[in-house]
Amino acid sequence: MTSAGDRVAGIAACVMALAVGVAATRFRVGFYTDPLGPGALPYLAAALIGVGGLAMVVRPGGASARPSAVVARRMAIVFASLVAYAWLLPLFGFLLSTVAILVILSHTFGGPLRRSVILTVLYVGTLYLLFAVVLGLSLPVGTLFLIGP
Amino acid sequence: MSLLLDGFLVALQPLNLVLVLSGVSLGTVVGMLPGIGPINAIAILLPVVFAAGLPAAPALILLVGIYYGSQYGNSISTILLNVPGTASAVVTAIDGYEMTKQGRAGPALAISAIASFVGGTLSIFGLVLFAPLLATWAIRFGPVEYFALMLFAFAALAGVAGRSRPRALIAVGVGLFLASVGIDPNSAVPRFTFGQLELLDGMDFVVVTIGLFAVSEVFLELEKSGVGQAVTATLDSVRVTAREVVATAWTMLRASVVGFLVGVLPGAGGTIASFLAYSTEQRLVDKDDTFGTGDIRGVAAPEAANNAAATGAMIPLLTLGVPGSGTTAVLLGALLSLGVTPGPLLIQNSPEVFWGLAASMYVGNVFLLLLNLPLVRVFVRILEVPRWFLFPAVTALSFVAVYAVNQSTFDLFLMTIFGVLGYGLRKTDIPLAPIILGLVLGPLMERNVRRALLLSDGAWSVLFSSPIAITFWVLTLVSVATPAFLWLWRRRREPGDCVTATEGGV
Repeated sequence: MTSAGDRVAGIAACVMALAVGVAATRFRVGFYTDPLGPGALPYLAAALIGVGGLAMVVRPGGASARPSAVVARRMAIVFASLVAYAWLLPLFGFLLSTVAILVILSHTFGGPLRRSVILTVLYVGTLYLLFAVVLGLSLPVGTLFLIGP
Repeated sequence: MSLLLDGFLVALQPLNLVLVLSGVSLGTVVGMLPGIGPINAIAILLPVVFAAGLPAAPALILLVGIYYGSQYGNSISTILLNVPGTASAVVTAIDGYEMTKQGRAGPALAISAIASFVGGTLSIFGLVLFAPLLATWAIRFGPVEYFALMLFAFAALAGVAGRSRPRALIAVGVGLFLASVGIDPNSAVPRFTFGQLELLDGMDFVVVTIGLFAVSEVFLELEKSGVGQAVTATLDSVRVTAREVVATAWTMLRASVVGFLVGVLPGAGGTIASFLAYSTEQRLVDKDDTFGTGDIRGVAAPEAANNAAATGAMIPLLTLGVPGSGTTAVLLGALLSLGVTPGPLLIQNSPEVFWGLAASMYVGNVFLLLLNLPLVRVFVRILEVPRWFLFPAVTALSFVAVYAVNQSTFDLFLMTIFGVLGYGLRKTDIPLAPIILGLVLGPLMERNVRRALLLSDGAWSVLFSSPIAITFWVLTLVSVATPAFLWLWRRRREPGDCVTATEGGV
């Protein structure tokens, strides 16, 4: 049990409260709208975050341990692939992008490669049939495949 | 009564029967799987039902089915594996897992299903009885009363947070901050949009919820090793003797009443209901000190209570539009996006929604009893799905749902960011439910207080101008101040007495 993690979180909350509060001072309107104006809700949010953050700095409880290097590496892989997915989805389309990221995720979770590829292809195919074909959700086809000959 | 019969005409339509069956089955599954709760399931399904063009009543029958169905499911993993699907089943683990260790997993699962059914069905009587009454009373609510009521909802949620109240405050604050993102509808001032066009409409609660709950869960699961849950318990027969059911009958009835009453209160919910019912029964019927050693009543009490609480929580949600928990906050978001405005006029204006939903809950509970008694073996098999398939599969569903909201990849980035944020918050024990409550309730609260002050020409005294509003203010003060007073008092009386402190916190 370390209280350092709590202090860091508390300080982060205080910084956020300050940023929100300062930004809210600039929400002014030239003409009269209502007595409270657009700044009231952000001020309230900043106050709550600030008070909570201060309390965590002053009286820290036990925060949980930091993830190990192996776990941190896995998290970085998952984060990077989520960002890459959002980036590449319009280009490669739902089917290809989703199969790719799911195989990566499944491998990160320690899944056997061949079985995860087979299961993933079946699963993503089912999802596409269910959501795009049956329910009519629009899922990107991928601009790469639209430019054909 | 004729209104409820009309409701059954809605609920018994073939499509709605299919939807309620899908809802409760899905609820059982997500309630059972640790790490995938009803919040994820409802948030993921909402854009889907929206895109599929389901009308409000069938859509709600499905989504609410997930909500109460999950209360049945969470006891399965609790009893068999000692891994509660959600916090409201933690108490069930005490006697439930003990029974499994003694080789009585079958009777434990059976009594849990029966108690859930008793709690679930009895509380629907409460719902159809009290919701219309509360609605007639709440019809007098204006902006002033609503503002005070919403403050009370937040205060109640922070009040039950116990030792981690600073964390609950931060969570509510973050939720309100997220609620203020976008163009302010009153003054057209853009708030915290960082020049992003996509943020002008504000944060979509589906994107935030899926990020905070589903994606952060994937990060959290990376810390664990192992392939999946190995169910080692032997399930010979999932049934109880008539004598055992009779012996628990009063326990189930009392626990249902306790659960229902606690459920109606904002902030409390299933977790507190099950704790309270368990400790009440312990005091009343535990004469031989068998609670905690695999007593069947110790399974029946919390299961009846948390199911009754789930239904009880529907009352303030539907008649006041004020949710008291994370899951009901997501349901409020669902109601609003389906074009149903919850509040005192809901029962009058959309009777098919309210009565159809209530009737479908009876049907759903019958389905759940059938599913959880003979078919429980099938569900248990789902627990054996390997984690390397389960969590990627949930991620893919999250992609589909988040993309369906606006057909924008920006939302996928946002979801990822909220996933990381949710992970950080969970690691520092900051609760996520108040964030969703703040995000969904924040805009309503702001609109009401600004409307009230606009009407009064800026006179703040208007906020204390009605007896109902004053009552809510007092309740708010009480729920904020009581824990602090109790703490001071206890510190003076019995320094360092932790046992009393935890009991009082329950």
